Amino acid sequence: MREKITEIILECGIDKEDVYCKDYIVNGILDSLKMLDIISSLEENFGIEIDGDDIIPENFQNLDTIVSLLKNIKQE
Amino acid sequence: MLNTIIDYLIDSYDNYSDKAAIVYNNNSMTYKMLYDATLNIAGWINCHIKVTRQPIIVMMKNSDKAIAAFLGIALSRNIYVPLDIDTPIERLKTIIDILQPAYVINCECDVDLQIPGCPIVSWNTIQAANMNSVGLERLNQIIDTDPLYILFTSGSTGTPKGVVISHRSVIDFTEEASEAMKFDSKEVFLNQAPFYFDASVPDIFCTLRNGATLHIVSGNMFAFPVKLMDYISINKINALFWVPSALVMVANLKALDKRDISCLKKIMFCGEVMPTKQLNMWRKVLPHAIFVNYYGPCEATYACSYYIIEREFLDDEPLPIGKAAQNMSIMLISNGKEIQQIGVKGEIYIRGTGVGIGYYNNFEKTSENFIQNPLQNVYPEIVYKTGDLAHYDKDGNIIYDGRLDYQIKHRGYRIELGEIENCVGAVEQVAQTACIYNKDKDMIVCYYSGDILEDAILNLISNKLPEYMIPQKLIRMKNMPLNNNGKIDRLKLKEVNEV
Repeated sequence: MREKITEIILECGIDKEDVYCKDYIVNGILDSLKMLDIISSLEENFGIEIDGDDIIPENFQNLDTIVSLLKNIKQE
Repeated sequence: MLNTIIDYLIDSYDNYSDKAAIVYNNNSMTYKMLYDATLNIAGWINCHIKVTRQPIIVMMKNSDKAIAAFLGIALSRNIYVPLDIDTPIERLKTIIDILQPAYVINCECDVDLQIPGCPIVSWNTIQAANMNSVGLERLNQIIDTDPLYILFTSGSTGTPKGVVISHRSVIDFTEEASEAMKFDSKEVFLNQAPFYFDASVPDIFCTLRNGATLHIVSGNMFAFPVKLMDYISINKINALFWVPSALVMVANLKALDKRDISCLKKIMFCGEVMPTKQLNMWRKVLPHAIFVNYYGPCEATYACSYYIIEREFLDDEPLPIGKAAQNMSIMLISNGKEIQQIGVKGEIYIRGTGVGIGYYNNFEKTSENFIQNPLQNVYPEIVYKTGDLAHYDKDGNIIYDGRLDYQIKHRGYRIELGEIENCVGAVEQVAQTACIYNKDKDMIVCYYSGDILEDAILNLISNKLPEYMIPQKLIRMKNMPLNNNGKIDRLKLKEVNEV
């Protein structure tokens, strides 16, 4: 899952050197367009629906937080 | 007599001195603080720049300080030019070449722009100089035909053009909008558009004129719209002047029904076509708010017409751009004659005080678009030729039909690409769409984003559009490229097709 998510993030236009950054938010890596991209890609690739309430900075702070968000959604 | 926008600041300072004029990242700047900061800037300029009516570039993020810089420059009888802090160096060089600015003001420190002959000073340096005692020196010299600001249009035509707008045009728009929308001091606006984009003009001046409050948040919040909805709800934001793309983003990122945003009462938008589908999503959660579709180019000071949405619209029905605003006039012209009949398309020409002065240091382009009224030749009268197509509906409302240059001739038919976009955009799963005509191959290419395959769209539109209007090629994009004004970037789309 982690590899797939890394791939998706790269595809959505995040630079290689930024993918493993600890804080996407503070470093201004995600803008609204990239978010739209990432959300629709994740939903499509994992066959899930991400609720608007889950689209918050805490869940998209770095690769780890995105992985655990996806795991949580998958479990539900 | 109201002849400068500085009068708005002085009135609100007199009446609402301790009220928050601007709230930036949760810090309030009162009208008194804004007035003082403005005088400091004007005072510094009065002492350091002997000339007047010269462009001064402001390269600052959207903030309370940036607004004080604009007002200080205006009070010194000079012209403010907001630029994106991330302007690519080549574009910046071109713009500085056009403007030959007296100064560049930036935020924190006096860093060199590496552009020879362009002096730079920081907001902090100016404030520290504390020259407010001479800030009002030039106030009485300002006349309302003096230029107030220059905004550079996005690069859809190649070289940037600097649109020059006078105090009078801004006053005219602000007075009209404030009356029509019944703005008063209780208005709480939330800024969305960057200040280098004219969609931000009402934020600044409708706030100042009415002693209202303007909230400015960092751009990051638009990536997480639930946070934005929280912000709206906590701060009791009641009025928005946003671009349609931002409203669409909030709807598409599923944030609309997540919070109680019933404090929102007035939602105004301008700058591009608002897709009816996402508008309907907004109206559903805010049934008691008024929604207003403004129309107008930057060259006519934000807007020249508007339509207050007063009935239901189907997802594939275009929104009217309404009727000319008070003290403005719109003419639809085709083959040199004014169109009065319903349904006949013509180019939009704009008359009135809101029509700008022209393009800075570019008489050639100015004379192409700011022209003598083609309907009379007995006295001089400059009107603005928009390059936009429109027609009247049965209620006398104007319906926008797209750019004149989107009107194409394909297999002998005259086609509006906007019409195809409307139809594709109405498909439920389509998020955004734009059509481009490839002249060399005589081919209509439709780009879209959304969770639906090309064939499914073809199926859905084939019984809505005549056969000659069906795109030869559909290209599904992850997301549509946007230019720095937040509009769909058609030049980039063209490149996609060529690859």
